[in-house]
Amino acid sequence: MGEAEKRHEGSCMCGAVKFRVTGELGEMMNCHCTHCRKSHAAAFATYIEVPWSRFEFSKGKDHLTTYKTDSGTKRSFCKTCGSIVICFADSDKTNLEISASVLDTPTDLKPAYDIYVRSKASWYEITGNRPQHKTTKGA
Amino acid sequence: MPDAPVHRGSCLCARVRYEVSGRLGTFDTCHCTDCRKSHAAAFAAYIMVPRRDFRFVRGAAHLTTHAAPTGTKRSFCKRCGSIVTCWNDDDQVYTWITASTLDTPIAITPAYHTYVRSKASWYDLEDSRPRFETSRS
Repeated sequence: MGEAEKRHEGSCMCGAVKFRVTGELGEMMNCHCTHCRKSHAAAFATYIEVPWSRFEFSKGKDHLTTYKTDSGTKRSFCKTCGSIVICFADSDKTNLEISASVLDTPTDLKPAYDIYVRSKASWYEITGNRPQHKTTKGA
Repeated sequence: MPDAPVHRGSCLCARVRYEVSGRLGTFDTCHCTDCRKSHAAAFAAYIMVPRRDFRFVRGAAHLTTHAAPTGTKRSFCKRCGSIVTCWNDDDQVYTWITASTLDTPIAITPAYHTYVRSKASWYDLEDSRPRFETSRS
């Protein structure tokens, strides 16, 4: 099977929402911004960038609630189990982010960098030698 | 710095607010599949508190509770999705709050890692805290 046909599948915890990504996944990164930490209720969020053109919900798209933060970022989670499956902004028509931990198919990817480390949890120490950005990757 | 006598927390959109009086208990980072999926994160970070010290100040009716097949229940805000508590009906003494929904500062740090047998392939454990294949016991 050629690389172009590679398919990645993911689902929320209860299985009501399923999605697939055709082709290669983009970059994986850890985000420590306050909104990611609060919405995931975790030390940080880990997202993988994928193009909208290669992403589709295979089940349960109507079973999602989308919450928009004041920054314009939107996160969609399953109404039944709360798993946040995707994160996106309307200003980016090209790419969205999928939550790495809702992938069901294995991936060799590792986080490439950490962003918004200025707002990381006081109780979490970032380990590893990845680049750390105070805010966005470009900052 | 001592912990604040009352700890307050909220979901992302602040519709749900809670408070904990008294000392916070054990701080656990859990790598089980259910925690990773429900939080959609590398791992979950929970702090154990006595049920009698915990109360919702606002928005308890705004929570959805999901029970995993193991019996573990997690409650999240219907509007923004933040998971605020995790518990099991078998344990009438303690509940768990998510560390990242706390708004008041804490001085404690995670004590150990549980369920490392199911940790994310892309997350490397590089600290010296104790690791348990499954639960702590």
